[in-house]
Parts: sequence; structure tokens; C-alpha cells
Amino acid sequence: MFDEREWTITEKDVHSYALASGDHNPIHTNAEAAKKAGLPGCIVHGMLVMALGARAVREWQPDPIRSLDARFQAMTYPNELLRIKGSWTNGEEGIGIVQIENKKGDIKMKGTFSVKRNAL
Amino acid sequence: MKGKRELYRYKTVIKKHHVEAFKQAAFWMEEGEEVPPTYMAALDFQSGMTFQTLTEQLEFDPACVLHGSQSYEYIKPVAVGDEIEAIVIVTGISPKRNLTFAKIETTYIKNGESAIRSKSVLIERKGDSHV
Repeated sequence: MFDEREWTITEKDVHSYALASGDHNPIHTNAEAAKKAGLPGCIVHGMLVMALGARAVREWQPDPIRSLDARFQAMTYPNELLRIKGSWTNGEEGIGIVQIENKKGDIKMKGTFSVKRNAL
Repeated sequence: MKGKRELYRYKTVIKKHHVEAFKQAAFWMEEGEEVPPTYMAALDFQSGMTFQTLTEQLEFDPACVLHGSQSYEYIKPVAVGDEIEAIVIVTGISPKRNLTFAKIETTYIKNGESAIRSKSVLIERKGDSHV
């Protein structure tokens, strides 16, 4: 098991990400649009949740990432405390899992990764 | 929908100020010119494949589009200043109850060779009863 990380994505973070990424799906930044889509409020971009997972993978180990796969299992809302967990499934080959959940244990993102062993 | 259809294609040069702004917004702390692992989604949006273009091309209602999954394979490093050609292909659209799933594959080509491959699933969620 790698060291667990904790992170909270704020509404401001979501707005900053929309601007920097160009992903202007209104369900992320406009509460009315989110409600029209049947959501209780704005949700965090899946790609911003994935970015947290990518950061954790790099902090956990030094090798460059060869692949990253994420399934967004549930909506992530701004200001939820997120826990980022991971472990090797085959350390020798550089294959592992990364998972992001809230403090209740609802899984937001389930992912796998692989890294380039012996990269120059 | 059966069979593949090209959705969008673009060529661009990766700009330093875009990458720097993205790094800050996406919590990426590593220095250097190489782009962060999730940057290519932003490159798509910044290079003309806007949310509106994407939903129009997929014939999805823009009011209810969700991101189901995303995967990347990193073959060659991509950095600031690189010229990238991206080819975005829809490989399938399948309805299931009140959901429609679109599978999208994007190849990012650098110097004539694949540098990054992306696969994603976008979901159009009709109705407003349940997430």
C-alpha cells in the first residue's frame, strides 16, 4: 500500500480547471444547469479527479507513467474530502491500482496504472 | 452506431502558457516542459474540439453529458513546443435504457508517430430522475 493522500477540490478549483482546460460543460460551473441535468449541484470534472490520481502515482513512485486508466464511478462534488489510495498489483512489472473515495467510502474513481521500469 | 467515424482532426503546437496554466489548475507540481498525464483532454478543448462541437458531433444533448471513463497510453513524451496532430474517432455509440454511451479514441501523433493514445466513454443521460 502506498501512503494515503487526502485532498479537497473546492468550487474555485473547479472554475480554475474549467478555464485552464477549456472544458466548459455547464454542469461543472453553473448550478442551474447542473439541476436541469438532474444533479443536486455542480460536480467536479472527472478529469480533475483523474489528475489527482495521476499526481499521487507520481508521488508514490519515481518512474514515468506508461498508462493510466480511470473509471468514474460516482459524482464528485466540490468540498468533499477525498482519499486517494493505491498499491502495486505487480510491483516488479510496475502495475498498480489507484482509487479515490470520499470519507464515507463512496468510490469516485477506480483506476489502474503502469509505469516504465528502467526508463532512461 | 456500428463502425468507426472520424469526429475531429486538428494540428497544433503545444503552448507553454497553456501547459503552465493547466499544471496549476490540475494540481501538477512537477517542473519541466513535459505535459502532465491528463493534459491532452485540455489540448482537445483548446484546439477546436470544444464541448459544443463534441456534443453536436455526437448528437448528444449538451445539458446531460457525463464522463464515464478515460484511459491513456503514453508511448513517447510530449512537451511544450511539440507539434501534435490529433485524430479523434468515435468507435461506437450504444443506447442502454435512458443512457447513450459514446466510445471515443484519439491518437496524438508527433513527428509522424503515435505519442499518446486515449480512449474515453462519454455518457448522455436522458431524463432527470437519477444520477
